[in-house]
Amino acid sequence: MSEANVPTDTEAALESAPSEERAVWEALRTVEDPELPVSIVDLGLIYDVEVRDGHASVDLTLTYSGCPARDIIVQDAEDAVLDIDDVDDVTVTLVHSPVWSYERITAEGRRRLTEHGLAVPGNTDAPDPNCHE
Amino acid sequence: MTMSVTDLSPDVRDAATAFLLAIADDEFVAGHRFTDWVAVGPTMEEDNALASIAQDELGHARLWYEYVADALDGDLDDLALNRPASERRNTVLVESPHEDFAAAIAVNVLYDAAEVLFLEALHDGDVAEIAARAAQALNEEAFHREHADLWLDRLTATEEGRARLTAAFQEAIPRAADLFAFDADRSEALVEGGVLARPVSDLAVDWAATVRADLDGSPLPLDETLEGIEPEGAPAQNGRRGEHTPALESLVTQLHPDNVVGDHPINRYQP
Repeated sequence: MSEANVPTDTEAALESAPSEERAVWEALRTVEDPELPVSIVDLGLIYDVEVRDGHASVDLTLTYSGCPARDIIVQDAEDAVLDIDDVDDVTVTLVHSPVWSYERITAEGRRRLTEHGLAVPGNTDAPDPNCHE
Repeated sequence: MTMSVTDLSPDVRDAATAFLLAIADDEFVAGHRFTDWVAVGPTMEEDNALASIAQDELGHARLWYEYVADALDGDLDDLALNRPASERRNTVLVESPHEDFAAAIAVNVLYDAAEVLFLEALHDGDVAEIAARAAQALNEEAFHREHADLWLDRLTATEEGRARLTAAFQEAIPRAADLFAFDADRSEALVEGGVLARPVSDLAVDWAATVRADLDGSPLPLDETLEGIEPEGAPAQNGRRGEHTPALESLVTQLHPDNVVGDHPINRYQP
């Protein structure tokens, strides 16, 4: 897949997806980053979803190259997609481009991260990180 | 112009595989040495920072070993863990254990300056699969450079810091002489084939300039050591040709303790 096709707005990509692909997006939404209580969809890690004749393909990236949760995330994503009735098999491909950035986190992802005490750069709604009150 | 690895001629493809294996070895050995600081860093904050840098470098090693494993139909773990020292092509700069915190910072300054130049040349090259991997690694290198800069400032603020840093750089700079000492014909093929945007010899000149700029302004008495840097000179010991110090042998041995049982990747090692 070319870089130009990677959604910059995950929420919009999900809304406009055909129903069988939306089912895959929804399944992926149940998969959380093992280090954070945020779904991999809301972190903006999903770059492409395709379903053809019962075969699902997912392009997925990681927030950084040394991510130790990599194999768990890939396995969880495969398991979640295979749970869909109309999906017979799935290929999850790890992609490196374009490089992930904070801009890809959805509004829901920002809310969950803020709740968890992590401020996304540029998120003015996050509480002031004053440790000495 | 963007192309795929499959568009490369067999010679260029082989040269790219060999080059990226050396880069992977750099990252793996550098990362391994930084892991020695886990839980013994000078402060908790610094402990986290060094562990994080180690994790990044091992992540970069994985990016490149995976590429090589694909190209050679090999196994990621065998490439990283199960090659004897003589088959590795990392620079000797990264293989010594960090005997002192200043040694870790010297490697951080010298090695990361080179790594950024390699990654930029790969990222600006024409091969999509390689450029994409370089982009991801490059994204993390800015933090490593910043870490080095901040510690240079801090350590040069005291007499003890200056003395220890000076000793560390005097020891490390000569070992950096092989950083860019790749086979000249293969390096040229990489530029002609579009894998590297710039000749390795240009990167060597830029590296020397970066290191001089980093250290010239510091109060460290390193003029003589810096004058000794010959970006295109022949190194006394060249890790790019498999000439390593005993430190690498001991690192590989350390990776293979004899008490690991079962179907573990290191049990496939044949020394």
